[in-house]
Amino acid sequence: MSLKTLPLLFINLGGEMMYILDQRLRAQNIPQEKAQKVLNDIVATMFNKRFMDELFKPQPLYSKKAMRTVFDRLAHASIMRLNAASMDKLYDLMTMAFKYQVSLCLRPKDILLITLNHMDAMRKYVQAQSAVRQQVENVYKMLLETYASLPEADFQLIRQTLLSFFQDMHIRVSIFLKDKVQNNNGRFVLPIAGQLPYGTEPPGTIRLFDESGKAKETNFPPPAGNVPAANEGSFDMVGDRVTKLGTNMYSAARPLDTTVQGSTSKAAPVSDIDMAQPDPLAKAHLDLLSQLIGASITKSEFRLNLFKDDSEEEHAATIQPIEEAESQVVKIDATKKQRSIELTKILGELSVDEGAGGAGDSDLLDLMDSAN
Amino acid sequence: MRWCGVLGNKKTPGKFSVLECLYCCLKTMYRREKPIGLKGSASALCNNLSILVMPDKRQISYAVVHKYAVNVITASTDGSSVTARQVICKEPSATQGNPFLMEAKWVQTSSRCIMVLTTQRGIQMFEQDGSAMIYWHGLSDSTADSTSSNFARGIAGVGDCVCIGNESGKILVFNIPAKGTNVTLQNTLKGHSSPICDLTSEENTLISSDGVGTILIWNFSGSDAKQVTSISGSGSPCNSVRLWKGVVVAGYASGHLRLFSAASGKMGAEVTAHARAINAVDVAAGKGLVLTAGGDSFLRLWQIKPGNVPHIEYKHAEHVSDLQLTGGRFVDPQGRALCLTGFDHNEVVFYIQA
Repeated sequence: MSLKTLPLLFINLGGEMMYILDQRLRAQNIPQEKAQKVLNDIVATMFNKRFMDELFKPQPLYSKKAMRTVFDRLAHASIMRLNAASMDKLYDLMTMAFKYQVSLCLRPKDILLITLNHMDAMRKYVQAQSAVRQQVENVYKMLLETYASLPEADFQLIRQTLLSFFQDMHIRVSIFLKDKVQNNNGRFVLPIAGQLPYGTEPPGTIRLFDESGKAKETNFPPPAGNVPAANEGSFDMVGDRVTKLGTNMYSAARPLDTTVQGSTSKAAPVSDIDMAQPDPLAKAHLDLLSQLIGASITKSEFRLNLFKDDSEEEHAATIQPIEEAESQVVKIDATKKQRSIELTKILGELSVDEGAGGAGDSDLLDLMDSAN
Repeated sequence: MRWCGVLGNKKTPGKFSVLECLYCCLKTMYRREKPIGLKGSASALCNNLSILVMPDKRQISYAVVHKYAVNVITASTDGSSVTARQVICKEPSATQGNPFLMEAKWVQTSSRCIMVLTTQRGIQMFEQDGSAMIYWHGLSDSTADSTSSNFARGIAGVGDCVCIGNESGKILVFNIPAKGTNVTLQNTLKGHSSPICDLTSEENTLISSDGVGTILIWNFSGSDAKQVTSISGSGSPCNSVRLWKGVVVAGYASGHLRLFSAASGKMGAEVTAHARAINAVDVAAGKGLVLTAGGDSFLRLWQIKPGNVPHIEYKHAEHVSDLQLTGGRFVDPQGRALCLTGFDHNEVVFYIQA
C-alpha cells in the first residue's frame, strides 16, 4: 500500500476536528479570545515543522489505535479539556466525515483537493496569528511538492490505502442520516448518476474502429443525469477547489447537529492482527508530539462538551464507555505489554476531568469557573 | 432506442413504461441470487475476487482479500454446503507486522494449481487449498531506500511458470514444479516503467498492464519471453485486463473499456463504459461475454465480436446499490452465473441468468 498516505490522513482528520471544535466552542459560548487560543494552539501543534517533517517521510499508516492517541493528545494541546465520552464522539465524527469524503470523491486525485479545502479553512482560523499562519503556509508547500504532480496510479493506491484504514467502520452520524447520504446500516448512499470525475467521458458511447482506424459510433443506455466536470479544481495555494468535500458541513445553518447515533449492532469485528502491530514509528511521533505539547499548558483550562448538554454527555459516558469499534480493539489488544508508560499516561489523562463536571444541567460557564 | 433511465430506482417512474424501456427489458436477463457471506469485508483493491471451479469435487471456491488475510469460501455447486477458511499472510520477519495484501489469485500452471498472494513487501505461494505455504519471495531490498513500498501485483500462469508483476514495473517469472516446494525465479521481464496493475494469459501469450495504461504483449517459450507488441495508454491506470481468442479486453481507471487485437495491437473498440474506475474485467471463455465492474456500482455485460479489429456490443447492466465494486468473475464458461465483491461489504454477490 502507499507509503505517502499518512500526511493526508492526519491533515484531513485534523481539519475535521477543527470544524467540530470551532462549532462547539461557539455553541457553548466560550469567550472569543479563549476559543481563538484553542484554535491557534491546536493548529500550531498540528503543523509544527519538526512534526510535519517526520510525518511526510515515506512510511506506513499508524494503526487505528495509535492514530486515535495522536488526536487525543492534539485535542488537549491547548487550554480546552474533553472527557472520554466527548473525545470518543469527536473522533467518531472526524473519522466518519473523512471516510465519507474519501468514499465519495469522484477520482482519487480529489483527495488532494479535499485536503486543500481543509487547509484553506485552517488557514482562516489562524489568520491573525502570523507565526501560525507561516506554519500553515509551509504545510501547503509540502503538500503541493509531494502530491501535486503525483501520477493517477499513485493516487489510486493512496485512496485504496485510506479506505483500508476506514474499512469496517460504520458509525451512524445524524448529520449524514438527515441529509440522506448515509443509510441506517451505517453505509454511505452512492449516487446512480451525477457529477462525473474530471477527465471521465459520460458513459454511453461505443466507438467501433475499422482496419483503417475510422470510427463508427453507437450508444448504450447509461443512467440519466451524468454531468461532465468543467473544471479540475485548483492545486495552488489559493484557488477554487471545485469539490465541496472537505469544506465545513457544520456551518451556521445547523449549528447543533453533531450527534453520533451509536454504531450498528452488527458492526463487523475488527481483525485482531490489525492491532497487533507494534507501530514503533507512531510511538516516536507521539513522543515528539508530547514534547511539543508539554510547553503550552496553562492554568485557565476549560472543558468542552460534544453533546447537547452535560446530562447527555454523562449518559453517553455510562452507556457507551468506549466507542464500539474501539472497544473490540481494546479487548483483543495484544500490544498492551509493549505500550509505553508515556501512552498509558496519555490514556489516563483522558478521564481526569470527570470530577469537574458537576451536576447535570449546569451551565458550561459555571464549569469553566470551577475548572479555573 | 428507448430507456427510462431509472435503473435500480423503482420509486421514480420514467418517461416510458417498463415494457417500452429497453433498459428494463434487458434488466430481466439476470436475477440477483442469494449471496454467500464472507468472514471479513472486501478490501478496496482491483480484481479483488478469484474463483476456482473444481468440477470433479462439484465445488467452487471464492477468494477475497480482507486487509491482511484472504477469506476463502468453498461451496458445493448444489449450494448444500458452504465452508470458510482464512489464509493469513505471515511474514518471516515479523518486526513490521503483517503486510497488507494486494491481490490473491488461483493460478493454473500446466501441472498444478496454486494460490498466489502478493503483498506490499513480497510474494507468497500456497497449495491450492491454502493449507501450506510452498514459497516466499521478499521484494523489499534492505539496502534500497525506503521511499518505495515495492509491492507485487498482477498474477498469471503461462505453461509451467507463474508471472508476477511488481511496483517498479518488472515481471518476475517463477518456475513451478509439479510437486513440492522447489519454486525458482527464472526470469525478470523489463518493459514497463510504471507499477504493474494486472496480468493475464492465454496459451503462450502473456498480457501485462500498468499504472499509466500501457499494455505489453509477451510471447513465451518455456520461461523465456519476448515482448511482441506494445499498446500505449493515456495516463490512466489499466486496472484489469483479459485475453480471449487473441482479443485484449482492457478496463481503465478513467471508466473506458478498450478492445485491441493482440496480434497487431490495433484498437478495435473503445467504450465510455463506466462513470468511475473499472475495477474488474472478466470474459466468459465459452462465449466471449465480457463483464465490467466499476466503482460507480454498475455491473455491465458486453459481447465480443472477434476479427482483425475486434468489436463489442452492449448487452446488459445491473446497479448494485451503494456498493463500489472491487471484483467480478463469471462462474461458468457460458456466463450463466457471475459473482461480484464490493468495498467494505462482507458478501459475494451473485447474478444468475434468468
